[in-house]
Amino acid sequence: MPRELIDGALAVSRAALDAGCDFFAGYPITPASGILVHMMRELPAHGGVCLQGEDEIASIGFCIGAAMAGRRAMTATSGPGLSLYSENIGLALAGEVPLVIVNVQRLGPATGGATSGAEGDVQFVQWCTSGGLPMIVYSPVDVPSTYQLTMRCFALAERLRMPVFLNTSKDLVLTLETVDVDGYRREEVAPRAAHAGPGPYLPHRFTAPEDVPEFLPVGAPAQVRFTGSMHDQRALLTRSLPEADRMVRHYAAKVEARRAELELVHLDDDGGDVLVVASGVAARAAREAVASRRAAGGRAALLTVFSVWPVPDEALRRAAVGRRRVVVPELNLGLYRREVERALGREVVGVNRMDGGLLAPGQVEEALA
Amino acid sequence: MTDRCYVDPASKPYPFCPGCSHATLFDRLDAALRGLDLDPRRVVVVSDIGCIGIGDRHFVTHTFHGLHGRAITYATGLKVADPGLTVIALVGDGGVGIGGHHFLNAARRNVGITVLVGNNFNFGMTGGQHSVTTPHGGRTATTPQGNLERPMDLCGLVAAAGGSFAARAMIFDKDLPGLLRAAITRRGFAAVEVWELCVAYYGKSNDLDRRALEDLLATTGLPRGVVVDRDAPELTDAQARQAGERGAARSQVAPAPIEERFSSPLRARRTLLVTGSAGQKVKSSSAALARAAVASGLWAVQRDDYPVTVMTGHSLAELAFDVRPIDRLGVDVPDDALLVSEDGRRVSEDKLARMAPSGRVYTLPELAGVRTPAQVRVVDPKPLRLPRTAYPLALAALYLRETGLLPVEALRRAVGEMLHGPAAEEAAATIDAVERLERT
Repeated sequence: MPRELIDGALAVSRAALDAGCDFFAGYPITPASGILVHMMRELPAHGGVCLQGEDEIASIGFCIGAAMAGRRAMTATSGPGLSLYSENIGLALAGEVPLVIVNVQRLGPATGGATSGAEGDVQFVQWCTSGGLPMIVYSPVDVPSTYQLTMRCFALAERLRMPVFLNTSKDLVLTLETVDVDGYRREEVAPRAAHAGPGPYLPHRFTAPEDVPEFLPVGAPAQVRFTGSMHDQRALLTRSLPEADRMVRHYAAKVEARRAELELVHLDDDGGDVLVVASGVAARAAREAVASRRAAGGRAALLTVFSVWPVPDEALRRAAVGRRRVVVPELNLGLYRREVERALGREVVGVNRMDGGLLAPGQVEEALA
Repeated sequence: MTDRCYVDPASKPYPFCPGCSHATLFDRLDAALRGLDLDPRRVVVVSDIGCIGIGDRHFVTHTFHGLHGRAITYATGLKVADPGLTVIALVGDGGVGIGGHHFLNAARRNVGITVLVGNNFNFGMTGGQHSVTTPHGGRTATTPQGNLERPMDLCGLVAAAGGSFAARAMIFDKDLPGLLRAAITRRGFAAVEVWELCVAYYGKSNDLDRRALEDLLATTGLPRGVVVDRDAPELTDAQARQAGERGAARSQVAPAPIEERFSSPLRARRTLLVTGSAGQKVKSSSAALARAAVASGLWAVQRDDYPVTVMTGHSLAELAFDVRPIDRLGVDVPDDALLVSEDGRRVSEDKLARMAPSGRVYTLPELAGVRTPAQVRVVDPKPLRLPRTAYPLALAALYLRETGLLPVEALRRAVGEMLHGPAAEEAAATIDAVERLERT
């Protein structure tokens, strides 16, 4: 079983290249810079282009332009940069732009702790732009899931024509881990469904609200229009209420109608009457806490949530049936706990830390009592 | 001239106020493109926000309408993704203000796009507020007593930033299509600032007409016509050249399995804290230990911690070794520690104080007084004549030799695989020096 030592930055970059990524733009920011450096070194040799923007706004702008010229694009940043991405993320939603956005969480708010870990962007990634539309967000817990979920983000961004987030964090991106090199799971990234004619190309044509419009790149033999203004299926500005309603519901339906398919969780169930729900780095502490409790003769189930948005309500409800207690450990003040409470309609117990340090498994285990 | 249209005549009238210069600008751009006879499917007009951005539906080229101030970023992305495209960004003076950083940097990069600035000295769409090009003294909704600020010299900015082409023109200029053609065909970044009349606001509030606009230009002393025209490497050309020169480089992200040629007596998890100063090679020495562990059949995790400073401040690595995969990230209280500087002692004070008496702390004479219940093994590196940056690796080698956790050979091989040139020689010499130490 050959093993390697690898950190999350390399896993993201490798997955992106394996997913056919041929465009990257970013602005240096701790702890995401490693991804920019890898992509800058690797992409030109793979026929791709990598640009370092003058700021985060330019970087995501380059990505949106390149994606609409037909490139598979990715960018990576951290909380301060994601704040600057905000408006362009809305543009990517409105224009149905395939784009993978990697957010490497660090201690916030503001500059916060550049080299300190925390997972305080769990709600921010979902609500990071105006309009309040549903996002797709995956969170890895280790290097293999970082690799697989990065590929999945590409698969979904390309297929659904929308921005898709990998929400990871400092301790997953910068920590060197030992990985069995045969243990990586790939995901297929299909090319965008292309418009073949006849007739003019309508950039936002769909029948059922959840349908994904066909794609043509800017520069194609048929005219391509793009706009961030409220538009009709031709990408022409509209103030028609029914047209606007149809378009907005379409953006939402692309995600909502695929909830079951997007859902990715792992339930480690020993029949115990306590359920731990965790994602990201907090899930690592949770795993050890559950293992330790079991070693001591106790029982506890662990639901690891990879698809954090949309919230896997059904999976949460199924996993919570018959549990006396539900515990949600997080490296923030309780951001996902409220989603779990909403889905389950009951109070759950939080274990929280947000000072740049890690949750100790013992802290989580105490809460299982 | 060609019969091809770039603005669809049937789509007119434009959505601009009667008499607005933007309409003329669209017609002049259409004329310029006709003169070039470009395939409209290889042309994209990227429009910014504001009055100038509401007319993109009239173009039969590809059109791209994004966010306020960011047109230049989308234009750049489109150009580098497809260098054969003719990319024209239509921006107002508002857009060039909010996107000034992009304007400057596109010029600096010399990316082959054309930025056409329809400068009517104010924000028309939002009610005539002042912009970065509003003349000194100009009256707008937000400068009712006259503008106290001075206008930005856009062509001067291009000159300073390194773009290939910049020109200033009046919307009435007969040769405007010719000037636009020169800009569009110029290899490299090109900007044309066109002075316009806003009939709803700025022109009206400041009694501007064609003659007054001419007088205004004379007052400012800004040059007219082509201001910058120089050969400089265009970005996508330079990218293609560099990619060609470089050829197919070996990928450094491909899986790199570590050959398992050693073994370890370890049976239960052992954690090690390596703590010292930035610049002391704490991270790389620890990574060599982690690599040696994997080469010895173990699983290893290395979590680093350091402040934002680079060559100063602390640097520490928390290592865990186990015969099984390790879930835990980080080390709360380490089993053993390598303490290599006062920075390291200070930042790890609490962890060192909580270690078990069975643990070992390897350190230097000046840190011999470290507060810890663990056994302190003091090593004087001076006789070894090692640079300070070699201390972590030296202590690591000694730690392995004395605890038998991993073979020292595994560490030697790890640094040989990780490092090249003088760094590899220095690391090998460090391990040799430790091996020559008398056993205690």
